[in-house]
Amino acid sequence: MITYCYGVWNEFTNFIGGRAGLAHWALYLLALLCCIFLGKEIRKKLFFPSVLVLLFFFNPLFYAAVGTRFLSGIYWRLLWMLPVSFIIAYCLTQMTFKIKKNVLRAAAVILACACIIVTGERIFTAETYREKENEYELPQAAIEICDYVKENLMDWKETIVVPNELLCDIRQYSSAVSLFYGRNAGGFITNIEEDEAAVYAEMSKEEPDLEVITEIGKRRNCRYLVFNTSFHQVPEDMTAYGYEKVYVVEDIYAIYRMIV
Amino acid sequence: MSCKNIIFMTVLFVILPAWIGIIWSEVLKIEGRWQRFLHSWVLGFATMLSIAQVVLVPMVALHRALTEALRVWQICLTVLSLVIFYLLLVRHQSLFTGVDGIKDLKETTAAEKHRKLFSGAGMLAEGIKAESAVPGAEKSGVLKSVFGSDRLWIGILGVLVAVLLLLQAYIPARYEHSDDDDARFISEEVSAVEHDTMYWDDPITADQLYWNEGEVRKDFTSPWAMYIAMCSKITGIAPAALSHTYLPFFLILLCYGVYFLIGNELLKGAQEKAAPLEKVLLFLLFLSVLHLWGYTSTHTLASMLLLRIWQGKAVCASFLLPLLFYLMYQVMQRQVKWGWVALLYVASNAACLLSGIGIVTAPVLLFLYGVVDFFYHRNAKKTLAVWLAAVPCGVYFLYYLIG
Repeated sequence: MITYCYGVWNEFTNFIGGRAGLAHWALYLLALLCCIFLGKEIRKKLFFPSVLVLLFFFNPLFYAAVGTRFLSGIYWRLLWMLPVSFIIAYCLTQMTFKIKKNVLRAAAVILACACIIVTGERIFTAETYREKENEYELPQAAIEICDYVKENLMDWKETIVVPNELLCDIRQYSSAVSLFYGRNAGGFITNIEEDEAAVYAEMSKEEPDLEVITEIGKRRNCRYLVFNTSFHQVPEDMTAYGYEKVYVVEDIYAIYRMIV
Repeated sequence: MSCKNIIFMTVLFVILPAWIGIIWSEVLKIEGRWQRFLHSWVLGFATMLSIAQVVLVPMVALHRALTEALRVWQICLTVLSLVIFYLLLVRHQSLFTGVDGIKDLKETTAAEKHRKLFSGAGMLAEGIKAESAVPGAEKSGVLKSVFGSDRLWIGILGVLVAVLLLLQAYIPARYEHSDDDDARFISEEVSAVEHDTMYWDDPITADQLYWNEGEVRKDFTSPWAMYIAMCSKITGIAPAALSHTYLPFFLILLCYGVYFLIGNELLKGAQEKAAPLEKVLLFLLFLSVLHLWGYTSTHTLASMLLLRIWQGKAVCASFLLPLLFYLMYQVMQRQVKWGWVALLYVASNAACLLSGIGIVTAPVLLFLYGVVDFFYHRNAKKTLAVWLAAVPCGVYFLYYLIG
């Protein structure tokens, strides 16, 4: 039982973002308490449903029966059922409108906003958003690599190996380019096989073992290998390994094609 | 962003849902121009999602092509649109013949006319302007000093809220945010559009799959990716561009449409038809600030809304669950219009389309709110109707488990 309690608590802290989210959650709990005194209708619409959701979520038996079986790793998503921001905004609005004078009311609004801002974390930052390179909002390198492969298709699709930073982007642009392994290399959703794991391990190194990559590549029909030359130390000429350099994207990504 | 694409998107994500949703505004007798528009927009969008769910799941299971599903969906929407057009013609025939309309106008007093025209929170600014024209209307706002006037207060709040909402809708469309989950969803959309298939291949390796295998098994009962693929097919915009550049702008505004309705519902008095506009605006202002500074983790509602609204689970968290809150606020009234209960069925079905978490959370919400409502009103028939709205979710959940 203790394990389940601990599990629920972990999901909760995961959801709120640890200490960073504590202040807004304190604000929410305070607002929820205020709802008790804001009339029968508000108790019915906001207070009791929220309390029930909280009881559901923090119930270790529910977590054991449902959370661990069907919502493993995503149990925190149940907290979306709580109208957290609506309750805070509602209470703040009601409190602000208790003030009759407009000037004082404006001051209260500014103060309330300042409280939220100081205790919260800004969402639009350079860390979350950056200037886009194209309308697809994908790295331009991924698009150019795909375009090159598409122009030189020898089958209905080509299997390629790309540097780890492009694993999530390639197939968002074109389905003609298939990946030898993708995000699942990091153990996400599906497991990868031995060959894929071996190539991924090498591609994660600055000095990859080209013998391993090219041997598996040829055996598994990976027509293209793409290396990030600002990270990977690979020779210009890879004909000895059965691949030839055919194209360079953005002066960084070198595309090698299997010599048939 | 090209003008042509913006027009396509406006038709697909604003005009069409608003038209489809008219049926609900008519059934529920929503009053007020803006109230009618917002209800039509959000309820129409939920209806479109729900219809898509009914069409897509069996067609994915039957291994049909994307264009076939698209045609069926389009036929359903066309028939519904024509039915709405016919209903509107019948309901408002007096507007065309003029007989009943003139009779009505004679019978209503000036004050009643004013209320009819400007009821609802959205048009308060116009309402205030017209207020002075109504005999006996309160004129204190005009006599107050500039800084004390209600009109100025509404004006400032209105501008602030408009700026904040447009900022929230514009930044995700203008700048780039990458999310690793797109590697699955957008890949599925690209494959569907390019190959005219639905969940036939692995989103990473493109190996052929059947719908109940691998990663796509999770998406079979929640085919949001296919919904976006259909939109991509209609508009001709590539799925990645559609999801990253165009969808955020429209979906974020749509979500705030729901939040407006929630604020209006919570803040109105027991006898009022709509809350005062300044209160709803302030509610939206606080909500915007909470979202703009709510990035305490990548899991919060703010993160879902402003970082990856194009994904099904984010639409579920930011649009569908708040819509369910709103519907339940309506259903939990003592005298309920059964149209609101019917909408629960539509919304719960739409929740299934968006994400697996929609299949889980919608029934739990319906159950909990149903319990609260029962304890308040002891109306077993209504509670049962609310709980039964979870049946579609239960069916999809079972299908997912044993499929």
